[in-house]
Amino acid sequence: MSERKDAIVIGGGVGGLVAATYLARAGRSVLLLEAETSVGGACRASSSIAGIRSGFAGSALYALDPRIVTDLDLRELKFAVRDMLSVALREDGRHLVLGRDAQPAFRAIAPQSSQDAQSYRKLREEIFALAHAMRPFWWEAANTPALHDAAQAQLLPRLAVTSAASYLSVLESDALRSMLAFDAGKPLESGSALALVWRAAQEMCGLQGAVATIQSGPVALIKVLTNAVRKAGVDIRTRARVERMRLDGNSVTGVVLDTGEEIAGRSVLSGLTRRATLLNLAPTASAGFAETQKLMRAAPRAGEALVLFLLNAIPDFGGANIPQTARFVIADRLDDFAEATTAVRDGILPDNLLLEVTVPTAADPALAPSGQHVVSVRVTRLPLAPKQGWPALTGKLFEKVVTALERHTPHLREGLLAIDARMPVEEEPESGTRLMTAYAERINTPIEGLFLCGASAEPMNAISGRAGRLAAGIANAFLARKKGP
Amino acid sequence: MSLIRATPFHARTSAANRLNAWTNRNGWTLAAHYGDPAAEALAARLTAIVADISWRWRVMIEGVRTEEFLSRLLTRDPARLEPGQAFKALWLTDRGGVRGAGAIARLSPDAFRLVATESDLDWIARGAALFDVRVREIGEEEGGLAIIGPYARNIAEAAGLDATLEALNFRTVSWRGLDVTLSRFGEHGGYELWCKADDALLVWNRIAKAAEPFAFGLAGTDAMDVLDLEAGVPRPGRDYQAARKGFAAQPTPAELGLLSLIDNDHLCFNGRAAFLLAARRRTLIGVEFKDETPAPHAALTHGCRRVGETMNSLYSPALHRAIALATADVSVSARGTLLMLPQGAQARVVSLPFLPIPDSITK
Amino acid sequence: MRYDAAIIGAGTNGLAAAATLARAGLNAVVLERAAFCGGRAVTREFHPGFRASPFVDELAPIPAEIMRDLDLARHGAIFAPSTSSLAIWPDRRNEVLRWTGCAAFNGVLAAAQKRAREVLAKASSDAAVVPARRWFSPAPMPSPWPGEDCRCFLSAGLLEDAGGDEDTRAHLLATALSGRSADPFTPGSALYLHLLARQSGGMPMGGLATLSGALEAVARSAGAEILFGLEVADIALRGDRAVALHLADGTEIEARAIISTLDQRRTFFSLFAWRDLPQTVERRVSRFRYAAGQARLLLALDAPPECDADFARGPIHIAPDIERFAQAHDAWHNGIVPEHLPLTLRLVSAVDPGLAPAGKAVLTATIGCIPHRRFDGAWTNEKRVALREQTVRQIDTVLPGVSKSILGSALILPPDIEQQLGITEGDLDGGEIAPDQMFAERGFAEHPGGRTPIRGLYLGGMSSPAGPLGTCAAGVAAARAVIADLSIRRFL
Repeated sequence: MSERKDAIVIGGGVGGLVAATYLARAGRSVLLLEAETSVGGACRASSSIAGIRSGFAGSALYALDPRIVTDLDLRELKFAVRDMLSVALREDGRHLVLGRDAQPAFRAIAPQSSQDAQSYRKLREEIFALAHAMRPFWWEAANTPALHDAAQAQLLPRLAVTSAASYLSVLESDALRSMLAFDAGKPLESGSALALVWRAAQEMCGLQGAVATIQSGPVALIKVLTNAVRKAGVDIRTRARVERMRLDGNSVTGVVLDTGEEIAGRSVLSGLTRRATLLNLAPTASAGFAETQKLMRAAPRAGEALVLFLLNAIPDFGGANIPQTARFVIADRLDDFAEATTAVRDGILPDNLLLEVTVPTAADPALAPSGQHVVSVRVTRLPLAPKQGWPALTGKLFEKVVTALERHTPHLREGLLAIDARMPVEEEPESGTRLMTAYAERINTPIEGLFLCGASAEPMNAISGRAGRLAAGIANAFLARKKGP
Repeated sequence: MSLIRATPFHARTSAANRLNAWTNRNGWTLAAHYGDPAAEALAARLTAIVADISWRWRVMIEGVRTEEFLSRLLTRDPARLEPGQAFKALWLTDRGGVRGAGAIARLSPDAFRLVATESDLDWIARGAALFDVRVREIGEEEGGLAIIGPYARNIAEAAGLDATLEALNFRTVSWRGLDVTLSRFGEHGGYELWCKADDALLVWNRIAKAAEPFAFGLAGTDAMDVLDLEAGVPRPGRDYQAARKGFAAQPTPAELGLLSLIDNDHLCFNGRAAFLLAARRRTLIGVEFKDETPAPHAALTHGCRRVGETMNSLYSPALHRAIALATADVSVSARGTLLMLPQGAQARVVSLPFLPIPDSITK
Repeated sequence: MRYDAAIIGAGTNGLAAAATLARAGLNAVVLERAAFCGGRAVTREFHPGFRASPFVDELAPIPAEIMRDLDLARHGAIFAPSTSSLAIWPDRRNEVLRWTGCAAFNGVLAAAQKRAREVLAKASSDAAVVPARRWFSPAPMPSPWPGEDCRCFLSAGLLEDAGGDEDTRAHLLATALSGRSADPFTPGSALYLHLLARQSGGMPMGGLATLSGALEAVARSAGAEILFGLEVADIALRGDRAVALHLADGTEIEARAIISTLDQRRTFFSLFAWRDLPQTVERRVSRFRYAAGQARLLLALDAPPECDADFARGPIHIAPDIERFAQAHDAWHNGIVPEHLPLTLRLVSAVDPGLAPAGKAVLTATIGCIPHRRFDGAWTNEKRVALREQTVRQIDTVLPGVSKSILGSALILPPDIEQQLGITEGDLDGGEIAPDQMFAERGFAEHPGGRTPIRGLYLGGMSSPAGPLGTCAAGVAAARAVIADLSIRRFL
């Protein structure tokens, strides 16, 4: 058995890297264990297509924690697009282009529906005001939201149980409705209305509610984080898959790798989901009988796939008037979300896919060989384990995605050089309840010394690193307490 | 399905129950008393009583990982039990609420048996499933008799049973051709005799015959309740509502006075973290009243402050007064403190148990 | 040595009084002539391996308040509830009778119990009130006692009014008169029905010694001193106040209050010099009558008699008959042993198996109307044997075979009781139950609550109003009177 570490971090995703760096900077001895050959997690550039440097992560970022950028000195991180436009692609050609700024947005909506322009103004004000109030709660370890007034105190609990679909029912245009619904994740589920507020609360490059892409792609983020982690003195071991955790009573004492090697640690930070951590790694029922059963019942069924296309020319989504640096949402109607949910339940592919498309090379041509372009497609609401199994369905999924895209950029098929996909993986289920719990509650586990630091400890599944930063703080306090008398 | 869930001894108990005083417990039909519950409760202290305890909830827990499962489930570590031994323990929710209490007996390295007063099959079976452990309820196929009182041992010996059994031990024996299990799990001393339903009436006859010279009495559930109360044992369902939600934090072991059933060196039981953190502002106290009127579930005040509530309350024929168990503020738990009931009656805090367990007479 | 209170006699009353006083913070001492406490509440081995309480099987019930106040149950005094009694007639052997369950007589019993409770409550509340000084106001009219109206009734008549058949009435009467001598046709004999309530005191396991053990433990834990082997020779007076006790060895024990649990005659005539007593007291005490009539036969049996175990737990009255009670009383009055003995049997080992070795049994017979002094002289050994034979013969008529399984026996006669317990004439009631000897007149009417014309002296025994109706009641009442009086004296 090797020497005992203060902290063992399981998984080298953004959360894991951030947590490891903060802990090491606080003077703790940290070991980071990564099951794959390289760190990076969701942002890893492991596409099989030769020559492209864009990773699988949705190339757009909307949640990176600005404090991490300053704390860990990530200033070398450059943003290619700081304030991405969002475009709802419509088959009839009446695309809706929304920026972060309010006035242009109202002007863009007016042609779709003059009434919606008014309704959206009200809705937007409401959402942004609440988002502003909720920022300390969603960004830091605050225990309760600090609301501005009584109206918000009424609105918040209401939104926490309202579905985005019904919250948006004041709008009449399909384009606006379905684009906003897409951003809510699961717009038909209770509490998803709050996801809109969370989205609005995020800040990219100092701009509230903005979406940005990183110069050189998400891999760049991993690169700077890896540098920071190494500089802080964290030991990193790749190809080290943790099989289970060791407990003494209710306290974690270390991990056991699949090779049988045991590593002692005074605390463990897991970048995996709560479910995977507590059900697969911890001893049976050590999370508590009720908690274990709750986790087993809450097995997620839906996930999202990422598909990369390498094209020999730049696509023209939405026609020549729209810059290709925007993010394009393809979701025709709200009904498509209901259909997708049914399909997920039945374990089949939905008829109408719900897509988010970006063209990373439009802003940063260096990501692909010269003249070639990458299209990154996020396919949301797919079954995690379809009946036929993913290997059999992959071809069908590509076909469907290409068909869907071709409706908006003809001749895509002819310029297609290569295609690659990452099939859905298990993610922490998103819910209104999760949005309403404090960070500490999501980071802590029933097991003493075990903390979650990955996306599953965030209010929503997003690349933000906040969970890593806050988990490091909590773990550090725990270590200090434990060392004391 | 018959509306009456009769115990294997029903033929005998119904013959003795001349007043037809029946009651229902855990779905079983049982004699509430056989004429005079006060006399039955006194007989347990003076001579001996025989009571039908087939209503108790019994489960067999078997499988390779049983010990691991029970270690996680129970507030004491079953690893320290040798086959043939038992202990009493609690099981808690994730947040440290008391879900149940019972006696767990180790039959073999991989088989245990749990006896409790209230069923909690859902929780135990679901928990066991996580460990691939089988849980089997025992119902009509087995009957149980309790023999309690100073002459319990003499009766067991007169019946030809080897009564040299330590408390919290049990033994399966062949008793003149019948396979029976003799155990000593009860709060009131004495013995429990478990037998197959087919042998039940024969077992009853043998015990009744052996008990005859010892002035024994049959006891119904009323008398057993009085004994439980006098022993200061709070029972789920009757004295308190056990937690039924997996994340309930109430009632806590401290406020039920069940801390003695939790081993401090047993580190990994369910709900331990919450148990350690829980405030211990309340504790279990026994109160006795000035007169003979019980006051169940009544508020207790001290000065103008409400400090607790009584749980079950009954008239104790031995003490000639009504007594009650109560949960109350630690500040008023000192012996002799005077508390007030809503109607202005006084209640005095006394130490528990109200009366010691009936002593065994060995001659 | 100066005490707040000295108590003469460590019987149930004396111990309860000491415990009550000590709990009130007073410094109390109990002086007992014998080497052990309990008085009549003792259990003895009368034959190797066989034990019984020689004087009575059960005592009158201890009032529930006293049980609770003294916390007797926690000290081990837990009683087996009384089982209903049984009457058997030898000529109709199969006929057994229980009078509980007969509605008319349940009413009589309930009324008796209610009256007894009320009398005890009044005795206790009288004690707690300090009597007003007479020179301020005329003596107030004494408040009436519950059940005083029974004074003029015949017990036989009262039962006839209640209804029921003759056998049931006889059974009920036997319950009230068991071990006594009374004529059911005398006016005032209805007072005996008060005593019905006392038949249900119950037996503690291990015999009555368990009760006295519990009382002793309570008294000692409360801080009272109990001294054995000390006989009080006389009470020293200063003016009209009793101030000290002189022991037989000459020691003086000073006390601010003295409680005597002896009967009236023993208290006044053996502890005071004749000339010290006021004339009124002397006259009153010498007129007080005693009516001892109880003998006991304890039998060690080789095997329990053949009878239904359920029946065998209560008292068994043999052939009760109202006329015969009257005849037996006549015989007793003339110093003759009656031809038909009023007999109550109790298979005590069926209730308390520990009294006999395994498989054996103890049977007690309580015999009524046995004269203290026979017309033909003292109780000689031959006369004792004859009485024993007569009793066994009579038992054999209802429980055949008992005579053959007797391993040993003991006979206790009124003179034995007088000699062992120091009770005048061996009258366990401490004086005849008669209209002029009950209620206020049992003590000193003008000095309620156990007080006497001699200040500082209190009666806490059977010769006080509460005495015959409840165990410990008279002692506790006297103790309450002492507490009340001493606190007033401190105040003055």
